[in-house]
Amino acid sequence: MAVVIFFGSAVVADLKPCYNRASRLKGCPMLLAVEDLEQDEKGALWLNKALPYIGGGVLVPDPANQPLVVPARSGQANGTASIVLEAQSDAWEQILSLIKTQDTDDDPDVTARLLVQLYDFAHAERQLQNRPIPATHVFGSQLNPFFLDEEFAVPLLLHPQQLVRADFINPSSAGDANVFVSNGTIRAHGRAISYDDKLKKLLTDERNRMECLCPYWMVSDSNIPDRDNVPGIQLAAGAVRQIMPFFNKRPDLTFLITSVLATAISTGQRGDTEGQVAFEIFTPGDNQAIQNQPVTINCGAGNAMFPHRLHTPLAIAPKDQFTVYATNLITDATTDFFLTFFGVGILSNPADTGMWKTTGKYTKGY
Amino acid sequence: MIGVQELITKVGDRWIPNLSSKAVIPYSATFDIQNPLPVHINAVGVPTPPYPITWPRLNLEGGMEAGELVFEDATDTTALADWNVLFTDSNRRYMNFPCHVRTICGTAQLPGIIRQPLWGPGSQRLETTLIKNAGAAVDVRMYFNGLAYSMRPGDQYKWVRERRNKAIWAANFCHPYWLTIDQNVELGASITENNFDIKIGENLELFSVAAVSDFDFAYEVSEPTLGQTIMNGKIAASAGIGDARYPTIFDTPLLLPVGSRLRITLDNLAASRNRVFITFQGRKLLVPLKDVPPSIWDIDTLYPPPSSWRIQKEGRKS
Repeated sequence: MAVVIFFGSAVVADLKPCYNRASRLKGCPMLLAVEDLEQDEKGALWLNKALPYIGGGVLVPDPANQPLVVPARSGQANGTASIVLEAQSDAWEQILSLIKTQDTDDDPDVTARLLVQLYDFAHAERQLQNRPIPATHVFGSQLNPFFLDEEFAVPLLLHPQQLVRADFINPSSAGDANVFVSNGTIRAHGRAISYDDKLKKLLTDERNRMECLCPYWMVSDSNIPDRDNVPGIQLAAGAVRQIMPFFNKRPDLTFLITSVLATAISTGQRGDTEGQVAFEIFTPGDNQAIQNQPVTINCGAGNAMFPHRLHTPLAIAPKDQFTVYATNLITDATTDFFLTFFGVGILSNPADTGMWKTTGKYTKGY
Repeated sequence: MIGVQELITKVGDRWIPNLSSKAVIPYSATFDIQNPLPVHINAVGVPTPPYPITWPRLNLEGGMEAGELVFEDATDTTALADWNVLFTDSNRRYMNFPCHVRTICGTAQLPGIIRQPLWGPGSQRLETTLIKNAGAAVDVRMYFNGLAYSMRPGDQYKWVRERRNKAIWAANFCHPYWLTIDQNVELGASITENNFDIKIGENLELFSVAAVSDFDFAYEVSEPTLGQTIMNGKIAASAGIGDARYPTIFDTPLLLPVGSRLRITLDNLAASRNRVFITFQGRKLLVPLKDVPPSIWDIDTLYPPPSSWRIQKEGRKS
């Protein structure tokens, strides 16, 4: 059994060890936050009147105390189940963290292979991923949530009563997944907006921004064999270099990769054994390697709880494709390898962007 | 580190990507060896030849800023790795003595952060000496993670070029430095009051401290020449010091001028022999203090912090 939760919180935990102190003290750069005190024309300080109506919150599916049961795969058919999260009718919610917990009795193979596909219903059922993504690359835990912070991502703003749907897919035959989901949010009630002109403007700006920006996940176009639509690659035993193609099919989305997440499951044993894989990433277009030697997943990839952050985003243009070469370092067993890139999707008409005008690469045809 | 917000430009009501991001890409640099990784460290007592790391030269105006150290020990496991590292290049030494790997390197999930990024022009070689502390030979991997520049002289990527020029300029005045006790320390069983003095031969600014030991110990750091101490008593390591993944960060950098001494007092809290490795991370100032440009003191200008830090300085956006 598995449960997923989405979280937003006023305090964002550490992204990197060296930033502990500042991020703990100052919280995250949430746009809906307001100053505790405001100053009037005479210089006197007053408690911000909007403050009581704004705060950290949790957005959970209904009912939240029951796990979502995602049935085990039967034959070729993956088990599927969906949850819907709805913003309150009188509030705006900015999702800042994603959390999932699963029943402790769930088989490790189920937990490792569980997939999720997120849809944002405010924007014509906007898909936040190119394909279903391993849930461990989307949702962190209650102790280490996956943060949608401004440095590496963008928060997800929900209008009142806006829906987010999470479709869970269980491609494992080892058992059901029992999932609890929660989102950490900053919640601004409608009354606060009427109190505070600045907040009203912030919300307008943020709404405009969310028309263009969204958190985005991308996985490979290759599939695990003998499984229905499970993105990943099955690596043969021994050091055989295999290719994983990545293709940004969308003509309207530029993808800035900020984080690398990976899971390796050695199929020689039960699915709870972490495999060892080395991989090489090549940039689109000029096919430039971004490492001088293959990087192992322990040195070059993380998971939703501890994502591996790149030092500068890697830009993937619309219709760009790039490749990753993966090598199984285990000599006596095949390994299922799941590699996910996370970052910010920039939605725009390519003709609007200086990017294409500069290169001339994409100007034609738009 | 460059945040994603710096690569998005607002034009009217739209947000567009910044093409110049193609001129700076994430990069991982490791040992340049012909054979596949991992590299081999000989057993204790048997010297291992140094392994070079060549900084990438992706284009004419290349170079790399390394901001993280990660490693993996395939034999002893990463959590129990027990070997030391020494970085040098043709004219610089980045450590006073080889440092324990777990006090400077982390993993991809929790990397060891280099607060003053290590700048290297394209094709520069860094010599890495790996020394086993105990036990048999091991196979290891180690990477510098950071960002690499890939520009040609005619490219118009103004902000990328300015950032690269700033990195080159800053490297004339400082470079990262790791300071450790300049001998291998093994405390006797239940012995208290071991004093280790480190003579400071250059101007240092320290940002954090990390330690690894066999068992718990208590420590105190003081500067006897100036009569300064940074704590009012000994602190148990288990309560007051982390490793490279969770280092203890000083609230304000600790400046050690040339000629000073750093005294580390260690008490063994265990009833058996206890090896202790303490490493301070910071930077070495290459010119007299009076000649250091003021902007160097603001390390944020060299290593942009998360936006939460900027908010602390500038006030929240609202």
